[in-house]
Amino acid sequence: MLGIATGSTILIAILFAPRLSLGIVAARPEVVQSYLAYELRCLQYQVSDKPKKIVTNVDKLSAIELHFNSTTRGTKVSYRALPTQTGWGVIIAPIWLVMPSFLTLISAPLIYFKSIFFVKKRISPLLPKDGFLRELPRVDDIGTLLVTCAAENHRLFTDAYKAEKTSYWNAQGYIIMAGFLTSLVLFLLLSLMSTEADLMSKTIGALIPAIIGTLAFALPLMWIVRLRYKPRLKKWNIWIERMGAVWRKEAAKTAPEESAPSSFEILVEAAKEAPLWNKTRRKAALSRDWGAWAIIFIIVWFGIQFTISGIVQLMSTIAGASSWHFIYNSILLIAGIILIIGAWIYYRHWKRHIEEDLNKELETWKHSLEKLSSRMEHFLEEL
Amino acid sequence: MPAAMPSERPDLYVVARILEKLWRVGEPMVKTRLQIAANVNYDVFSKYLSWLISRKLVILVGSQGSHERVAITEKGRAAYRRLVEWIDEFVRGQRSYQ
Repeated sequence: MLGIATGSTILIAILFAPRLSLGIVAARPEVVQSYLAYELRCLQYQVSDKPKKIVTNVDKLSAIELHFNSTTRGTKVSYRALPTQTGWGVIIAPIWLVMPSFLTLISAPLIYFKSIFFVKKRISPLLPKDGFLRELPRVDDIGTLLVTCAAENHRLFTDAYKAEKTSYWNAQGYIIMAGFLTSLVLFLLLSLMSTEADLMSKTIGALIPAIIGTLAFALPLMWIVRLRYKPRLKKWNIWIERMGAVWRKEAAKTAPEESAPSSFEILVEAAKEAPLWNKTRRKAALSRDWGAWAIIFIIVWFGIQFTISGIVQLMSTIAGASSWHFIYNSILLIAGIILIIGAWIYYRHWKRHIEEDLNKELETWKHSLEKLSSRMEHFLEEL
Repeated sequence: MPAAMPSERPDLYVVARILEKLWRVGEPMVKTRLQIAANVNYDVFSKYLSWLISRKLVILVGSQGSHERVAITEKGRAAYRRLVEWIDEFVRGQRSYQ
C-alpha cells in the first residue's frame, strides 16, 4: 500500500510539475497576457491575473496556468495543468488515507487530461498560427474594461460565496464535533452512574439518553447556523447572477433591453460590497490555511498521546513503581501538556496575525471606496 | 426612478445610463428611446439632456422636433470611459490582494 502511495506522489509530480510549450507570439509578454485573459473572459472563463501568468479554471477540479516569458522572438507561452483547490483535495486525500491511495492513480490523470483537452480545444485556437496577433483589445477601450471588470467581479463574488460556504460548513462541523464529544461524555457519565448489573442494559440505558441529549443540543444549533448563513449565501448568489448577466452581456456585445440597468451602475453597486466580501474571504482563510491546521493537528495529536499515556502509566505504576518510571511518565505528561498549551498559543498567534491582516486590508478598501466615491462625486462638477 | 434633477448636482447613475446607452448603440438615438434607457420621466430626461448638451457630452442631430436624435460626443465617450476606468482601477486594487 505504501508503494502505491509513493507511486501516486511521483505521478502527481510528473503530471503537474512540468511546463509545456504552447508557442511563441511576436508581441510583448504583457500584451499577449492581456489578450489571452480578455479572450478567455469573453468565452466566460474566470481568469485570475498574476504577474507573468494567468490561471483559469476549466471546471471544479481542473485548472490551467499560462506563463508568458520574454524571448528574442517574442513571448513564449507555456502552460501547466493544475488541479483546483477542490481538485487537490480529491487527489491528496486518498494518499493521506494510505489505503485507498490507488484512487489518486485515477483522479490525477483525469484532472490532468481535462486540463490538457481544454488547452487544445480552447486556448490553442486563440493563438495565431503565424505568431502575429492581429486584433488586440485596447486596454483603455470601454468594452474591454467592462468585460474585465464584470468578469473580475464575478470571480470575486464567487470567491466570497465559496468562502461563506466554507465558513458555514466549518460552523456545522464544529457543532457535529461538539455533539459527538458531548454524547461521549454523557455516555461515560451515565454508564458510571448506572446501577444496572447487566452490561448490555447498562450500555443501552446510557447510550439512548446520551444520543437524545446530544441531538437535542446539536440539531437546534445546526438550524440556527443555517438560518444565520442562509441570507448571506443568498446575497452572494444574487450578486454572482447579476454579475454573470453583465459579463455575458458585455462579452456578447449585444444591445440590452431598453430599460435594463446600466453595467456601470451595477459595477458601482458591486464595488460597495467589496469590504464585506473581503472580510468574508479573509475569515474563511483561517480555515483554508491547511498548513497551519496541519501543524496544530500534529502538535495536538502528540500532546494528547503524551498526556493520556503519561496519566495511564502514572496511574498504573503509582503503587510500587521505580522512581525512574515515575520521572519518565511525569516528563511524558508534562511534555503532553506543554504541547497542548503550545498548540493553543500557536493558534492564538496565527489567528491574531490573520485578524491584523484583515483589519489592514479593510482599512485599505475603505480608503479605496472613499476615493472612488469622492472621484465620482466631483466628476460631474468638473465636466 | 430618481427625483427631478437638482440644478447643481445631477444623478451620476442617470448620466452614466444615458452615456452608456449612446456609446453602446453607437449611432444617434431618438429621444424617447433614450428616455426609456435613462429610466426617468420625460421632464426629468429633458433637464438631463439640456445639462449633457451644455457640457458638450452629447449633441442633437437631425431636424428639430420628434425626429431629433441624440448622439454622444468624443467628450461624452471619454467621460464615460473615465468612469469605467475608475471602477476597473478599484477592482484591480482588490485583485492585487489575492
